[in-house]
Amino acid sequence: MEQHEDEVFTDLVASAVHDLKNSLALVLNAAEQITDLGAAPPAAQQALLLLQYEARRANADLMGLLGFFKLERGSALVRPAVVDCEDLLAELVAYNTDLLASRGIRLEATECRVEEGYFDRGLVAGVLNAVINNAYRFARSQVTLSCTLEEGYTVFRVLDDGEGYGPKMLSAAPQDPAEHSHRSTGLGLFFARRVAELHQHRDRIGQVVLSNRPGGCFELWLP
Amino acid sequence: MALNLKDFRFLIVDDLRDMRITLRGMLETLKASQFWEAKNCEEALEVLRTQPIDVVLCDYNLGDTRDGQQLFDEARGRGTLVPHAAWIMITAESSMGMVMGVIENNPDGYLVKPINKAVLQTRLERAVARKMIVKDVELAIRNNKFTDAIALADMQIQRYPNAKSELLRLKTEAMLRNAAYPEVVDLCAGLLAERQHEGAETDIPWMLINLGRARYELGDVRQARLTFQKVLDQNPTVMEAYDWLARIEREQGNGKDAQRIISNALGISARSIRRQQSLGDVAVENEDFATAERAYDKAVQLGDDSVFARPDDQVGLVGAVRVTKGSEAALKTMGELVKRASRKRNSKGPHWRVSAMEASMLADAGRHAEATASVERALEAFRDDTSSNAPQVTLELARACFNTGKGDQGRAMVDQLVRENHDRPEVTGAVQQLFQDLGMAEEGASLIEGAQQQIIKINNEGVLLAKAGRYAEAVACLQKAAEDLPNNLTVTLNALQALLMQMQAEGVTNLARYQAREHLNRALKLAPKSDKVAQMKLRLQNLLAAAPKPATG
Repeated sequence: MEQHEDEVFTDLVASAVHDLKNSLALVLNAAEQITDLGAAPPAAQQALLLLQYEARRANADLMGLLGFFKLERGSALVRPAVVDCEDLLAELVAYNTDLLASRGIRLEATECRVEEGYFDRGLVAGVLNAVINNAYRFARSQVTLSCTLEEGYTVFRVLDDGEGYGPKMLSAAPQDPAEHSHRSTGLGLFFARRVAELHQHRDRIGQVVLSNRPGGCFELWLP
Repeated sequence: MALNLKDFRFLIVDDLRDMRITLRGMLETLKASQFWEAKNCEEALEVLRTQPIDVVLCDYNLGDTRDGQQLFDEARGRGTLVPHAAWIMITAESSMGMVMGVIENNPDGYLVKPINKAVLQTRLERAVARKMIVKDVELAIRNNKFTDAIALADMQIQRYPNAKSELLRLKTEAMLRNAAYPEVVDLCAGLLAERQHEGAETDIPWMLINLGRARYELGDVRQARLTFQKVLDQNPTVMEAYDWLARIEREQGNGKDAQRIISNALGISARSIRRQQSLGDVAVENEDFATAERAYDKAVQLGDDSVFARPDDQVGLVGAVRVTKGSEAALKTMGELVKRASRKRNSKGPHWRVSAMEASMLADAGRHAEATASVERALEAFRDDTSSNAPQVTLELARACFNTGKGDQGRAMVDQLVRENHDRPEVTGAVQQLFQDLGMAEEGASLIEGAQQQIIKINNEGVLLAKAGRYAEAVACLQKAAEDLPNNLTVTLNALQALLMQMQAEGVTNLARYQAREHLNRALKLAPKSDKVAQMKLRLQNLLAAAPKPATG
């Protein structure tokens, strides 16, 4: 019987999160609609942009929470499928361009060397969207995306021209979520590492690599 | 590419009104102007039935017994989608991998929530463009013009190398339907090797699936099984692979394995009506009636208003309940089914098989008046049923007739059944068993004997005529028999044989060609896996290929 209650609880939480995400989607779309009308006074425009940025962040965190919850409950989180990488980059650019442009930041996909990857498209897109959204705070004028094949891994790279990651971020142990909260990625980065690790093929495991070049460089390596 | 969306007809399917409004608002800013909306499967199917929709935007999670996948299957199954219609599935990030794996028949695109205008535009452009490239190939396959489909796919691959993978998938699909199995093995194996050579670590699922299908058709069951297993090792959400593995295990007599495989598949996605049906069928074979009951019950629920619903689901459900909980409970279930059926629009009442089963249970319970009423209902519906039914099914009704004092109807039914299956011992044996149960063994034996002799006589006559070179008479004699007994495989094949001999001797006429194809198609339908039928098919193909093409008209 206990297992049955567990299942009910799982369904309840999953559907509540689903509901919250739908709410956020509507908030985001409403904000975008008002922005598009261009009728709001400049101060209100700023507030709308903040609203969009925060709502996207909340969305990313919810995705992470739901993901951890599912993992905790033992259900499969990562379901890989064949993914058109160029198409994915195009979608990431389309989704984030306007918001970044409002801060004078240009978003570009510079190269895509992988035609078809094999991973969970939804999760990877969610992780990358969160990282790109983050650049809204930290980039100066430019964010570039790329997808390359390195040592047999498909590597997604998000590079900004900001200050780069702080030393604590760069050395943080992957299993410690508290250490990841500096650049307000919080749960996001911790979840990104989990998503990467859950992508396994033969004896190879996916990973997240952070570096400063000199701006922040986020890499997602997928086997 | 700037797409002019003004002339596009959109259908937006989402259970949340605000979400529909938002999507519609976004489409309006992209200059679209023609919209239809649906909040559930039923409404969506109604729109698709009446409107030539160009683009469907469908939320995967519809908060209903059916989700976006069922709606997509249903729309495809009903053939109500126009050939160029693009289907875009909308999902949440966290379930996208799941959805992409589960989804069969590949929709034309995906959208991950949250969606904004820019993403919607990119997706739409891509989906519409993709559809334009593949639609003619898909249409040719839908119309069974497989050689056309293959040629079209080749042409489009030259023109649109970016869509190569998708076009190759459709091409191999057409080749499989065209029975070009060795060619499919070569093509798919080549593609897989090429990918591996390029350093890809995983295979594309459709390449393995189609390779497995071709191997299966060629009789290489062992390799086929390994191939499908490999798909699941790499990606456990490719549902088609479960279906094929289950089919193989079932045919190999490993019913328990088949049942386990289908259960695993249903653990990933429980809403597939066809999978619940196969689980029910295989569980009955395994005499696991509790599982059968659950599976058929789900199939019945999912089958409301579905093209995939079968009378077997209701019959199976009642039959399983009868075994697990007794006749009283089964009659109660039956009552619920009848009530459920009468609630549906255009309800034609319960299927005759359900009524026949009801009649035998009522007769068993000594409720003769009710049993007779059920048999009458069943007989009425049986007369209108033009679909071919398994012999056991007709026997059920015959048994009910005998049990309710309608021996004449029962006898007529059994007589026809024996004449249609005069040389199939499993059928004549079942008929003999029925008469034995009724304490009428002798009458049964003479009825079977008489019906068999009658067919054998006609057959022999036709065969003798043909051997004597009197082809026209032979054809006439055997065709007459084949028309009277459309479900008799031997008679159908003999008629075809006579036609082949006639064409060989006297040349190919349009009429003979047409009639021969008719007989062959019927034989293929009656016995799709028969070697004899396959040989006849080959002979007909060779003969027609060698013959000069007759003038048309």
